[in-house]
Amino acid sequence: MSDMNVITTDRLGKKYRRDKLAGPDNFREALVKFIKSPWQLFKPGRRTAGLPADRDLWAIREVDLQVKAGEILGIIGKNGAGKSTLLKVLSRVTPASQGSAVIRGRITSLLEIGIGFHPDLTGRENVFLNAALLGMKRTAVRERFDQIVAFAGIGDFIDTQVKKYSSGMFVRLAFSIAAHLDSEIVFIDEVLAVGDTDFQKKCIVKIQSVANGGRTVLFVSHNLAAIERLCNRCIVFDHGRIVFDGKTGAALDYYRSNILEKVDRQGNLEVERENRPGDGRARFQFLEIRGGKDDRDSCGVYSGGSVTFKIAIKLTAKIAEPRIAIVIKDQSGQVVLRLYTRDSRFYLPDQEHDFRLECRVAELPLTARRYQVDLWLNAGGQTIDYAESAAILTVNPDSGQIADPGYGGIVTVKSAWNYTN
Amino acid sequence: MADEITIIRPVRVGLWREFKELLRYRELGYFLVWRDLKIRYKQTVLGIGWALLQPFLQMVVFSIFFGKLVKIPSDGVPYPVFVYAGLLPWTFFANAVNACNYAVINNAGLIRKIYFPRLLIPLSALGTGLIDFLLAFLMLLAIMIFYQMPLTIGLLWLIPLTAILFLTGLGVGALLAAAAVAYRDIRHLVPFLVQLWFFITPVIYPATIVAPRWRFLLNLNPMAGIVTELRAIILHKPIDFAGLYLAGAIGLLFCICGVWFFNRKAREFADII
Repeated sequence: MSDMNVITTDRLGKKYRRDKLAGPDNFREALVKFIKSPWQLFKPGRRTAGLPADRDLWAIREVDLQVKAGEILGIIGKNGAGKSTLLKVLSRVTPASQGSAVIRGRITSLLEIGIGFHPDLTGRENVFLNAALLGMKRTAVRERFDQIVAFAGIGDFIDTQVKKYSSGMFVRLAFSIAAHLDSEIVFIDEVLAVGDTDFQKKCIVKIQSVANGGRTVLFVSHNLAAIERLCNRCIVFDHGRIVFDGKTGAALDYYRSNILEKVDRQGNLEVERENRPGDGRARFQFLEIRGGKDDRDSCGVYSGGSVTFKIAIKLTAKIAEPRIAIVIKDQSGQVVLRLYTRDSRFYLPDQEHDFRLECRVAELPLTARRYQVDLWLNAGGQTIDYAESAAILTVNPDSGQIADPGYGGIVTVKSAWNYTN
Repeated sequence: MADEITIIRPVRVGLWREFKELLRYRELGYFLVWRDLKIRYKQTVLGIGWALLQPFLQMVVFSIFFGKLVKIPSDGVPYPVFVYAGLLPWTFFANAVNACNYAVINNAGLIRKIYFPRLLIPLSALGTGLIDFLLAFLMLLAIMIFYQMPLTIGLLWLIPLTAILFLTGLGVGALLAAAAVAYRDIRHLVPFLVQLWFFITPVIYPATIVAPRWRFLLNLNPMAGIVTELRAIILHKPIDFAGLYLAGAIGLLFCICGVWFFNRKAREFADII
């Protein structure tokens, strides 16, 4: 039984219409169309006929995937690469546009935790409602109710209205329900990004034990450390297609070197990327990281050494007093350092044309490892552009250090030691 | 373990499979109804008592204005009973349509994140209304006892009539619910439409004041037949079976069209909502 495929997809694809993404149909337009030719309404395929193909945006395309029972499959890729869309199609939230998929067993899809939670209902009532929404029978919930409450650790608050909960309690209860579901296949989308660190650890342990119980898990996350810890197999998504499928270690290597660093070598960012947040008045176009002696070396950034970030920004409209931040994150997505113009009391005047900036750190206080660099541009409290993982920053150990396997913390500062005996 | 197989394809599944899915998810349907009732009466002093009081107060207001002041004829029965018997099915219908109008949008969070047969949304909106309907019916029995009207076995005819009422409400509700997602203008149109519908339905006036040659036109409105026959059953008047069958047929047609249209649109709710 165990080598049977529980999930098989065949050229699975999902497309969105670009103009549909903007919002619902125009009622007036539809009414005029209906009056002009009323029978069009009943003809199938009337929408797609005669429209140019580039109106379509393929969120996932030609996905062939086989998942065996008991596998914990990690799914990684940049924002908008198609990871979440795959889970949405497999859990039937949204219809497929092409291909097919066969899934054997009961599915629980945790695209978000605490679905259907109503603030006016008590914790107890919400447990039953949420579990029903996730496909669990009332009798099964009743059986596990005490376990759910115990895991969440909210005690007597279970009969209090959820609106009086702290956000931590809310998240703990929501996850606890999800963790006690009885389905054979579980889809998880980034739900670990919530809650405090202790609870996150508890969640990872719980997911591990769930998976060890023979269940199949599809796990989408940006937290590469969690993926590494949980998954035995991993697929990498890029522009809607699976570009790598194999052992987790190899997949992470592929992801880091072929996808995350692709932008690093050229220095140019993917400006055409669809779903970069922000209002589009300006876009980061270029990020270059230089280190080493006189900051000439593009890949020679050393722990405790100097580093210079060179940024170019392209404008399509005037922006007033922009602020720019370089956000440095570790591999679990935790922000370890933020270099922000405002924090350095560096105030830019209003900008009307493309401009360039440089930010120099004399002694980079980061230990030797890889970091992800995001760029953030805002003005008047509004995000104008956010370029996630604009580059990978590889910090090398300085000459006196040994490469740190991770026991030495994230930051490093010069410290003076004296023998005082 | 592989007792359940899900097959995902770009084509729509048939109505029969859709119906089986609904049966499988019926427990969730109960929960959605339970949730709506629970939330509605949370933190109110009277609680579920409002479901009894609201139609009663409505009856009092209508009796004073239309019965006493305007003196609308009521086929020789006390106007309060006459108008209450009309308001009972009408209120169910109006509430169902208005609830469906917002139901899909109110449940957007669920639709975007989890799968369930989308038809459960209008169905649960109607289910909530059906509970109110039953409570309002208890109030009707109380009023009938007050006016010393006999409670006979003939009242059992109300069961098939309620089924027709439910199907009609589901059809219109589902149609408008799906349309309101695709075209947001519908949402603002519906309350007006319901109000208009109220006046072409013999709720506050008897169908007999409409000239016989226009009666057929009136009966094209399934609510007209439902209200008239429901009132006939309650007031022990002869039931017009032709009218009943016509209302049933039109109601069923509404239901099929509405559900068909809803299912057609529902697949893409998560993308367009």
